[in-house]
Amino acid sequence: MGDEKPSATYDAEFIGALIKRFHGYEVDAADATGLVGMLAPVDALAEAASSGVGFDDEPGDFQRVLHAESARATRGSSS
Amino acid sequence: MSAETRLTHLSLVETAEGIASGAFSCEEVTRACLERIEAAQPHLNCFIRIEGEEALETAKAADRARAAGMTLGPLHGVPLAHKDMFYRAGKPSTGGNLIQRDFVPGYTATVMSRLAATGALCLGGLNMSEFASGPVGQNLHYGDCRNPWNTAHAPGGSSSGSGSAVAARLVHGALGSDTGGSVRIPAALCGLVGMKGTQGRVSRYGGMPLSYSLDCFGPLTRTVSDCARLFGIIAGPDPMDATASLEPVEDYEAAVSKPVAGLKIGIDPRHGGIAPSAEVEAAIEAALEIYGDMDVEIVEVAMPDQDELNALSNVITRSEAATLHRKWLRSRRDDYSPQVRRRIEIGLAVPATRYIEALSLRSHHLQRLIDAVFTKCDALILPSVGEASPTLEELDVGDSQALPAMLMRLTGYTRPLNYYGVPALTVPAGFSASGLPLGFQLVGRPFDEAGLFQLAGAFQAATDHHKQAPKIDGVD
Repeated sequence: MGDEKPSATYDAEFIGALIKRFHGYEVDAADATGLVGMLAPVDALAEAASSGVGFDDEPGDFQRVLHAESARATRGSSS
Repeated sequence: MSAETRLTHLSLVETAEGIASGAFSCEEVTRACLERIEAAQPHLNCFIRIEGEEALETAKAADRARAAGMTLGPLHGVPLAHKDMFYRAGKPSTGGNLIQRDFVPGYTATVMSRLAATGALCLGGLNMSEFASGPVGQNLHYGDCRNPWNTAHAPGGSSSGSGSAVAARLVHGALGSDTGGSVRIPAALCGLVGMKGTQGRVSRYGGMPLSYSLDCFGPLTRTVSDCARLFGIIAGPDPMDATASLEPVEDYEAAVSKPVAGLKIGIDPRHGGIAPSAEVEAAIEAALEIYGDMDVEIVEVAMPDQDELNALSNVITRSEAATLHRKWLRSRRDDYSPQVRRRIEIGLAVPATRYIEALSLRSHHLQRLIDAVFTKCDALILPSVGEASPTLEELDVGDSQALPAMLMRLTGYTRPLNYYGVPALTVPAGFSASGLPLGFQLVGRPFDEAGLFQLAGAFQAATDHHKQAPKIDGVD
């Protein structure tokens, strides 16, 4: 994070247009540039992490793993 | 030390026991706290709102109840105060922001109901980062909260007032919220115990949301036993919150004094790829030596690197926060401070596919953590923050390009754990050369909060870090 390399996904012009068209208000150029500075490194790392998503993966799997791996479950305790 | 100071410096459990035994009254304790709050508030700015008169009336009623032979519960007459984002019907709740300055909810948060049902008093609403967004403790609208160990330094956020007020001995415990470290960071920087439970362990009903998937509510206290008592009261299923887990609640207070010999603590020498300061590293090494002396086995593990986890966590938080705030960003954009607005506004530009990817990958990453770490040990030790508290001035980066690095500096070790959903407990670990508190996290497998209280309790019994109190200029 904090990498200042230019983003292939986000630039200030795109961010400004996106917020105006999708969300119905305008941000000035300085704000748009600032938003790119924060979002681009997060997006790049998230892109790198996203290759593992499978066709049948879904958000609800998290709860299944959380409870399957609970301390109680792994201790085999019924209490 | 005056009699009033002696009362404010008792732990939460000691205070409850003293009231129950008749050693002192609820009114005496409450008056002592209110006098100290009045003296400290100009220096620390812990409170957004002090509810002194009402608290005194409630304390007197609690004394009358006790005189009549009634016990309200394990917090009978104990003065607490909470981050100003937990709703109580008919009472203001600002969320630390301008938009909700006059907001008066019509219903009560489950955590507030549960504390009140056990006899706890509430002395007011505590300062916090605007919209619970920010790890420093700055607040442009209500003024910065300050660290009682050195008022030039940050208390940590976003539960800044909770950390500062409990460390300053103004109240005996406080609740905060933790979406990326907002309980554990102020706990570490103020020298406190702070628990973020497993995702879903504590009901979020009636608390101001920031991120539905990652928000956790938890206590900040001076001792492990205090924390266990508060956590045991607020944890558990809640029909008003469908995301609250049905897993049974264990006896956390009993866990605090259980023996730890034979348990295993994992240490990743790389701490997930983020190097802490030499002082924090030394504090962790010292803690491991203490655990070793208790016949806790120390095992080396390699946890996954934190960078991608931080990014995925950010994708979720920003997307969900932007969804909540979209209406206000459009209509009341100038009512946000620039930094908080920027942090929330980036979520408007995250594609839905990226957001759902981040949610879908959560199970894989949790499984990876369990396989890499929790098949080898009972708990992982990790820094809470990689250094002692920096100054408020040093962290005052506004919405500049320095903002991402500042956020990573404070939340690098905490934010990924919200993504994993696992429990993590910050424990006081000593002091820096400049006299500021240091802390570490004990991280557990899902729903093993009891195991964390057990290990933390043993460490606290062997150390006296938690017994040190800050000397506040103009107060002590």
